[in-house]
Amino acid sequence: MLKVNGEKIAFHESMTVTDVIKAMKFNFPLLIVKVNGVYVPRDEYGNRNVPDEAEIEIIHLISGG
Amino acid sequence: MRIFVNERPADVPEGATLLAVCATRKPDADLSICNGFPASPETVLKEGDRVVLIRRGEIPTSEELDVLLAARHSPGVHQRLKGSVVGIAGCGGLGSNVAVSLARVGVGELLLADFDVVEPSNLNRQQYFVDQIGMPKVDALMANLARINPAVKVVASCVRIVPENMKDLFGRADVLVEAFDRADQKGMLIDFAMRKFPEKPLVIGLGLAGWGRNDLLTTRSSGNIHLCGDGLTEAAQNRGLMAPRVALVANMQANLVMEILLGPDSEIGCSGQ
Repeated sequence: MLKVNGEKIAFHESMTVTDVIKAMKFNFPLLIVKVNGVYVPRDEYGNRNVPDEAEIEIIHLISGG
Repeated sequence: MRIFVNERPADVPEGATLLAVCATRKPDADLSICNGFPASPETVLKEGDRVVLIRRGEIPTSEELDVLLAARHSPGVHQRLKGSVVGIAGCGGLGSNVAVSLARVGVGELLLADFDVVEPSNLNRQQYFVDQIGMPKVDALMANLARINPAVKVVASCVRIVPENMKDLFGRADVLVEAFDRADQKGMLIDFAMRKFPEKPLVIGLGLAGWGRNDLLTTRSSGNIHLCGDGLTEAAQNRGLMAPRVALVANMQANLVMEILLGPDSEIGCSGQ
């Protein structure tokens, strides 16, 4: 089990950050991702595995300022 | 004994009162401050005291203004803010409003960066004036900040912020404020900051278009990243970026910068009962 922005989702072996984003059905182009409090750069989403029980924060960025 | 009157050394008799010093040095003063706090005329002065005498309506010098600000905020808070450096990435709706508030409270140094010039469409929410249209925003903002608080040091860089220059621009900042308009720019800054200065607090504005719904504006924190805004509302047709909501979020950012620099105010939230 993983916790993404406080919501529980199923974990499977060798799950990557990209898989988590897909599982959450996030389609925003710009995200900030932290796994257990550690920042994951965008170019590592596809090969960064998330451990079971991980707490994941995903912030989507929107324009305006 | 030697004291200081309006930051100048002055020799006065032992046991002199504030009233006596005022009578000889600035008889028309109607406000007296001793060591950073407003003081009554009967106050007996001691060696080394710093006295500031002000006449209402008279334009004070930068040093006198600084002392007045210290008196308003208490010397401890003033010193802490004065010793702080805050980076502001982008000087549009968020950045110009953040800069104005931080200059008003006397943050010692502001590092401003923006490549843009003031345009008519900016005036609906940004802290510029009609006669500044066409000026680089950082120059216009520096001029406006100097009129608000000349004691604040402003470093203005008229450049496009890119990963290659971010360390030079903001490496020194105690706190970095993200104040871009475009989401991809926000992403670039956050990515760089998380990789290169993960320990530096980063205050982001996110979701501030439209009007109303004060209740949706909040602050969320995740480690050193702090997000101010509703997190949802992007500018769109019939829902533009407008002064009240943009300035609200900018001031949430400025308020959070204060909290990072000073720690939380333990009095806020106490009802006083």
